[in-house]
Parts: sequence; C-alpha cells; structure tokens
Amino acid sequence: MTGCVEFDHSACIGCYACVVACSLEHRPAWKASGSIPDEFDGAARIRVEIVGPKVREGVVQYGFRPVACRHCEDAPCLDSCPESAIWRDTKSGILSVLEDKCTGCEVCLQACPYGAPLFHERKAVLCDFCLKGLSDGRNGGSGKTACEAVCPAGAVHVRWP
Amino acid sequence: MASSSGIINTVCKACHGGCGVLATMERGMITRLQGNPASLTRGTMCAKGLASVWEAYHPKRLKYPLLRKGGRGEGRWTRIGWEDALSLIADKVGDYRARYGPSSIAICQGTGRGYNRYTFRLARSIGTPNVGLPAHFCYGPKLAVFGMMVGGRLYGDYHGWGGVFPKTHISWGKQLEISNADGEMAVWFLKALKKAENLILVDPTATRLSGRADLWLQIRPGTDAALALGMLNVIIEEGLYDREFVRSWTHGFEDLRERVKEYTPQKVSDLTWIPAEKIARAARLLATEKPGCIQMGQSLEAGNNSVQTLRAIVSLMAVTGNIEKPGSMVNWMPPPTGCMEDFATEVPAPKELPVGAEQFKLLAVPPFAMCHMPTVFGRLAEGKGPVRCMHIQGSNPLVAYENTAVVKRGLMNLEFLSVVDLYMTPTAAYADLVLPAAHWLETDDIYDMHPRFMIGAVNKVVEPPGEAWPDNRIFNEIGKRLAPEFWFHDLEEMLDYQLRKAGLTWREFSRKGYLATEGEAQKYYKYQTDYWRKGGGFGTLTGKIELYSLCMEKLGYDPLPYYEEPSESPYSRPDLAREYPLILTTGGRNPLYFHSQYRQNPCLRKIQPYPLVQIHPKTARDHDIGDGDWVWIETPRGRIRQVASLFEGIDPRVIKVEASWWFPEDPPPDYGLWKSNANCLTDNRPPFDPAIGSTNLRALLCRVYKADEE
Repeated sequence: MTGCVEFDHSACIGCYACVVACSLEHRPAWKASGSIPDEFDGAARIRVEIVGPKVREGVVQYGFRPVACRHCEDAPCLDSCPESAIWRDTKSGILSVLEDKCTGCEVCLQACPYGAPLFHERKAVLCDFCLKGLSDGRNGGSGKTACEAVCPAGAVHVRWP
Repeated sequence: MASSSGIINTVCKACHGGCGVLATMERGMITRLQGNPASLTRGTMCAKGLASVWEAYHPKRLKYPLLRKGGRGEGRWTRIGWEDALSLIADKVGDYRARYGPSSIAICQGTGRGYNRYTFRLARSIGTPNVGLPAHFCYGPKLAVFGMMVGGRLYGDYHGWGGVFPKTHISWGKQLEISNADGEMAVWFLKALKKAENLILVDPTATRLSGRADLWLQIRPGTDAALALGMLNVIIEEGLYDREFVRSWTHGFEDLRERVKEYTPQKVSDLTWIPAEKIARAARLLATEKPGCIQMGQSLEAGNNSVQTLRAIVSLMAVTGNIEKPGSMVNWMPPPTGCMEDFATEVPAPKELPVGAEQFKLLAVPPFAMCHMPTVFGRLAEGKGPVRCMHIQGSNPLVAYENTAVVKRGLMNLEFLSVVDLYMTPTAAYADLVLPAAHWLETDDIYDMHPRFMIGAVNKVVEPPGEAWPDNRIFNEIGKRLAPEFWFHDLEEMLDYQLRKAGLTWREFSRKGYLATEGEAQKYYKYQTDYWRKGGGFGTLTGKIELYSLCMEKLGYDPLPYYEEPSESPYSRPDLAREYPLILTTGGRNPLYFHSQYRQNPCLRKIQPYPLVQIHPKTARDHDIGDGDWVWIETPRGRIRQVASLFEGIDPRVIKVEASWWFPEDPPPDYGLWKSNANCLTDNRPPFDPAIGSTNLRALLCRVYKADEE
C-alpha cells in the first residue's frame, strides 16, 4: 500500500487550518524584499468538502471532508495525463507533477475519483508529504506534515510512504 | 528581539489569541509559522493564526501617522511624525479635559486583544470613566454574572489535572471548536470531547459538532433563558439536584425552586420550539452524568435579557454541583504574576460614572466600569455629549456597533477622533488622525486574555513596516504625556513592572515563553479552603453561590432569573411580523475571520470570498432563491445583501446572516460598509437588557428577497 495523508472525517471540524498550513508550506520562494507577492493567495494541496447538513428523521449529517492526493497504487490521473506530466517515484510510490510538462488542462482532476488535484498558477499540485520541510528539519522538529501538526481536532494521520 | 534567521518562539494574537507559535526566519523574512509543540496548545493553530504571515507583509498596511487634510472621509492626508501625532492627541485630550471635564473623552478598543489592561489604565490615568468597548453584548454580562453569583469566572475543565474529564458537555450558543477562545482553547475542548459520553448542543442552527452530538436542542433564537429555567424545573421537580452542594454552598434555592415552577417542559417547549422530552433529557443528563461543563457562547449576551439568561445557566451549573470539581466548571488560579488586570485596577477609578451606567448599573460594577456605546453613539448622533473626543485602538465601530447609520452620524459629530489600526478601515477613513499599529508578529508584549491560568510571551519576530508602533507602546506614550506618574520610561520598563510579582524581568520571561498554573499546582474545591474567604466559601456577599442575588436586589433588579420574550419576535411584535415574517439571527462564528478582521487576507478570502446567509431550502424555494444567489435581507433599520447558502440545519422560520463584513477592495471611505454589514439591520435603541444594556442582535425580524446582482 502506498502512503497518504488520512483524514478522520468524524473528527474534522472544517476549520481550514490544514489548508492554510499547506498553503504556507508550499509558498513560492519569498525574496527578502519585505513583501509577499501581491497575487499569492496560497498554493494548498488540500481542499475541504462540506457534506450536508442533511436532516433525516431528526438525525443530522453535517461533516467536513478534507481531500488530498491519496497516491493511489492504480492512479487514473497518471494514466490519463495527456502530457505525461504526472510521474511516480518507484521507490516511495509518491506521485508528483512535472511542472514544466503540466499544461493545467485538468484532465487529471476529471480522472481522479476524489477530485484531489488542485491548481496553482495553472499547474496541478499534489500532496508531497511536506518532504522538503521535513528534510530541512523544520515543522517544529515534530516530524509531522504541516497539516497533521496543526490540526486542533486530531483529525489528520499520515501513513508514510 | 527580531533577528534575521532562526526560529522565534511567540504567542499568536490573531483572535483573542494564546496559541504557542514558532516563527521561522530566513534572511530577515518569515518563511513559516507553525504551532509550538512545546506550548500548552501542543503545536496546533487555526487558519487565522497561520495566515498572519499575509498580514505582516500586506501591501495595504498603514505605515505612517496620517493627519486629515480636507474634510472628514475625503481621503486626503498629510504624513506626520509620531512626536507631532502624540502631541496632538495629548493636547486635544488635555484641552477637552480642562474645558468639558474628563467625561468628554472616550478611550475605546474593540474585542479584547490582550491590551484591555492598557486601555483601562490609560482611561483611569487621565481621569475619564468612559472606556468604550462592545462589552455590553460581549463578555461584560458574563463577568458581571459570574462576579455576582460565584465571585469569579468559571471555565470548563478540559485538562484532566484532577484526574477526570467531563462526562457531559453542553455547548450553548457557542462554537468553541472553530472560534476565538473566550475561556478555553478549541484544542483542549476537542480533546476532552473524545473522552466525553454526552455532547448536548443548544443552537438554532446545525454547527460543526451537530453530526456527533448526542442531543441537539434546536432552539428558537433568543429563548435560552426559558430553556435553562425549564431544565432547572425538571432537575428540581425530579429531585436530581446535588442536595449536599445546594444545602451547603448555595443561597436562595427555595426561592429558585418557586420561581422555576411555572417553567414546565411543555410551556418551555412552546416558547423555545424544542420538544419537551428533549428538554427533560438534557436536564437529566446534566444532573446525573457528572461531571459536566457548560460552554456559554457570546450569543447569550447579545439579547435584551442577557443577564438573567446567564444567571439561569449558571444556576444549572450550581444546582447540579458542577462547580470546582475536577471535570466541571472551575475558577482557575492565575499564574505567579497574579491577575494581569491589576495593572489597570491599581489606578484609582474616576468618580464620575461612565455614560449609560446610571441606567445600566452593572456597567459600573468593578473592576471594569465601561460606557454604553449604543447610548454614546445615539447621543452623539443627536449632537449631544458628554463625549466629544474619542481615541480608538483596534476597533472598527462602523462595522462593530448596532445600527450603522446612527454610528456614522455619531462619529461625524465627534470633535476629534484618533484611530490606531493595521489598515485604513471605514472607521479610520473618517478620523482626524490615523496611527499605524504593529502586528502581533512585530510586537513585544505579555499575552494575557484567556485562559486565566497562563500568560505568554509575545515576542517580536520582524520589524513593523514603516513607522508602525505596537499598541502597548502607543498607550504608554500617550499616557506619559498626560499622566506621567502612571506610565513608564519605555516599553521594557512597563513589561518588567507587570511581571514583578513573578520575580521575572521581561527578558527572562521572553526566553521562558509562558507562565502557567497547571497540573497539580491548580487546585479544585477552593471553596472548602481559605482561598476566597477565611473558613471557606465563595467570593460573594453571602459566601455562597447566589441563586438569589443580593447584588441584583440591591441594585433594584430581580434577584431571581426569569424569561423575557425577545424584543422583536413574532410573539412580541406580531404587527411587525406581518411585514417582516422571518426571524433573523446575526453573528455566529466563521473559522476564517475574526469579527471585522482579515477580509483583506488573500489566503483566507480565497476560501470564502463573500458573506453567507443561511436559509432553509423550503424558505428559499418560497422566495425563489437558489443556492449562491445574492439576496436582500431587510429590517426596519435597513437592508443588506449576502449570498444565499441553502442549509437544512436551520428552522424554515429563521435565517442567519454573517456579521462584521466590509470589503477592503471597495472604494474609500466606506469600503463596502453598507453592502453586507449585519449592523445595518440591528438597532441601537431600547429595549436593552435592564441591568447591563445588552442589545438584541440574535433575535430580530426580517424579510428576504432575491437581489438582481451583487
């Protein structure tokens, strides 16, 4: 089984902390010019689906489902990409996007059963387990992805590749 | 100390704040914010806190003091230096104080941002009783009720320091899971919830916890006092109360028993729209599945019967014995510094009463006397005093206070208005003098807000843009010029002074990070010791929890809790309901915004760009409204537009609008103030809560219809 970030839907409270933490983790390189590029509004690899609220015979269904790439073993995005811009690291099983090849055509999004690929500046972006941040020894030394470390509801659990 | 690289330990103040933060610096820039795993919040943060990076580097931040040049709101400014700006404020305040008396000056802030003690110290030191803040509908009623009934504030014990976690939780008009801490942090609450057996929600709409609640009491807005009295009725009639605690530690139980007799579950069901059996079940769970906690939301304070509503709920805590036990409601012991608010209360209070306190007597109850802002703005709008000169730090009254049209007229009639803020806001745009504030990432200060058992070191991470100054420095510099005996040579001396009781200097505390009374140091059952009074007891007039309040009686108010119909409802105003048939509730909490803040934050705004009004699909169908349509919401005060969110988790007779919206991208001076701001719909006129002047913001009447466009 490949690794992925698992979200416990019953614990998630839809606070979007994971989304902002992910945006911040995947910021473009900020130059020491004293300001963030005006147009930069985040490059999160997580989105949150809202389910409900549905009220059926007094029972409330109201939930929040964070969605991120699950790095499927059998990955329809990889097969469907007309530019062959999605590739898998055979050792870790991690899927990633070759930025130079990606045209932002969104075919992968159509193919993905979870609707996981997100787009930033017309390039697909996928969960990368914050590997850059972790290898830099950051994330507070917690050894956690940004989303797992920040979640106040304890709803994020990483299954490492 | 700001430095160019490394990791700096600080404390978030993106809401009331308090979460431990690690800021990573690379080549002089913040490249990452993350929770501090070694802090009491264990590395967790929220969207607002994390998005603070965008605030620190926002291109629209105010950078220099600006003096109005042209008419009010024309947007023509002259850049001036701090020395000139501070001298101008000192001259104006000194001049008004001499000519019209100290009450002609109001010192104002918004919601507590960890500098309440500076605001109050400044006001007291210059001799004005008029501290202006929205406390009449936010936290003032809670402070007053806890003070009168218990002698101190009660918080939910989610920590397990006494070896026990709450078995039953009631979340009452509250979304602690996603909102600002006004007592406890979301992370502690959510952890405690995993160990709980019963979660009871009281809310007119489904919340983020509805799906996992054992019981959801979907209440008609504004009828919470009836529900609490009905639950008391069940608990007392069925003999489920804690006999030993009630007998030994409460005052007036027999009077309360008589009072609640009329609030039968059936009668309460008719008032609240909650089925009688659910009311009884909630009461039995709280009384028998112990220990238990009740989170009281701010929504309970924004009604025309706020004090008695809170009194009824605190009575529920008391008769079930859910006070000072591990896992119940506890009054936390402060950190070794003592209560930080002593910094304000050590300065003698002015003799004059704040505006409105003659009528709403609890506004003058120590330690914090404050004025009634709806009265201040109402009088100003009619060209009346006593307030002529206003200094505002960190507040946007045009968005924050009731009846925007009246607030606008009032602001325009001020003779002098100075505003300190991060951005040019609708309020700042009409000021005479605008001063740039430093963000919390640019500030050295002592965090003291909630919870009460800790303080934290807010350490400066980066330098502020331009000439922006931290709030505490601005207070000190104004104070020095008007009442030097109460103020300090510099910031460091002021911070050292506040830490003296703990035997720490600011530099030592800054490295230490936080001070807390936690674990075994935190004591329960303090009423059985000499903690509040020798020989045991609570810090009240009778030494017991006052179900029957002697303080209320002395002030001429009903000493027992009662229900009163919301001032504007289908039952109290059937005449109005013919034209405005839907119940309107405003506010609620949004995980991305804190009151009027962050609409200019691109990262947060991308997630939710527009204000949402929750409407039941059936009601929407009746009005030809589709999901995502812009709709008008109208009351007798005015109308606004928000985007319809079709929502099954709301009663078809109720709609809920989001509060505090303005649009920083719209043109000055109003920045879209009139478009979606819920306070265009609310009223600044009576009826108010008789004891503290709370306004009814949560249960009004309205009509909705489709808007052609944004």
